[in-house]
Amino acid sequence: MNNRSAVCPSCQQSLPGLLCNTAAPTPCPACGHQIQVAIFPAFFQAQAVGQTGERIVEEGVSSCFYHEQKKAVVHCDGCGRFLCALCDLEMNGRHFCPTCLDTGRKKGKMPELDNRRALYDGAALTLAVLPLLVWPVTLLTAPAAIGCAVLAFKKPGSIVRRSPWRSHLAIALATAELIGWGVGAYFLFRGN
Amino acid sequence: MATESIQYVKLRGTGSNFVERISLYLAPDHLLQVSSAGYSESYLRFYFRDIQSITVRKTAYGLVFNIVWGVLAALFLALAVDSAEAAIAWGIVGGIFLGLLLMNFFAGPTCVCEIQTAVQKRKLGAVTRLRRAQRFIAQIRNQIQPVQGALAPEEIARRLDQLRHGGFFTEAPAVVTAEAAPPTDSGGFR
Repeated sequence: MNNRSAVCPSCQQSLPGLLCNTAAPTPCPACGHQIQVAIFPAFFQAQAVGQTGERIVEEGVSSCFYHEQKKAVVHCDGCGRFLCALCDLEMNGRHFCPTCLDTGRKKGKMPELDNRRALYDGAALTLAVLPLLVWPVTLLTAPAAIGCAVLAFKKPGSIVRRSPWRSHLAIALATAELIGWGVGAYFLFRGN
Repeated sequence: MATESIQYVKLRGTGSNFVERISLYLAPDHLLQVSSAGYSESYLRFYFRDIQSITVRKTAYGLVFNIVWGVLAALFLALAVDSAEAAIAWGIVGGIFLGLLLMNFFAGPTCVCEIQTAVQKRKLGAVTRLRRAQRFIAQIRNQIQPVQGALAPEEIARRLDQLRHGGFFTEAPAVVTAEAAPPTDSGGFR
């Protein structure tokens, strides 16, 4: 059941229906701010209520893996275990048990559950470029840049498409810095 | 466990605050807001089936920046005209501010755009211009309509007025055909 009305984003006063879904901004009758409100059918839908598992009352009915007294209604798309309505976690048309969902989230196998990711390629490029301003520290930062670039190849990166050029450039620059140190050390010891 | 990657299409426009760069991406079944803060990204997903409303409020930031850039451009260009020895230097600085003024002017009025679902109301930091917001609403409406259906504008108005006067709805919304939806124009907006 929905009992909220559309409100002005500026003064929070409820808006007449005619002011919603207009093609252009219109002034709010209460505060006069120019506003545009698009309302979609989900606005009027009742909130979904969670289900509880149905108790087994007859013989020969499959039971939930986690609740053996509850009737299985679906199987997990991750591990195949039978699940009751309480354990069934539906996501984009797929059904998972809590364990698979948690495992998938922790291992990064379900990108739709990720809400934060580290960008190792950007860190690698910064470690390769920025220390050039204080060049002696490149002896430490160049291996770190290569390490970050390798991590960028191994770990899941941005979930939106991102070119790997940062990692390649970081490896090339860091390698050049290390070669520079090697050449410098060679001439230094050769001179002695 | 399925691990297939989701194909995202970037929407035009990027917003930023002091610490983050904010962009919007479209997936087949949801809108993704990506906030990039240097070496990490955070994500917010708004599934088309859950989006209840999008509100846009016109703000005065655009006008304020027009005044600021305009005053600075006028100041430095006046210095360039007045000064004989450093005319080129003042002219370059004044030209930069004039460029910023023109860019801000032609980008149009600014706005704050918010998206609402049953459990959250979030500001969309990437939608900061009124014209872009209107194109964004048109595009999102095209994505939402196949998932949620469409209500006739008169029906929406009737239901909202009923809610406004303390009414409740227990029945499912009367979903009507696509022709009943307000006209949309995605106008070249990717």
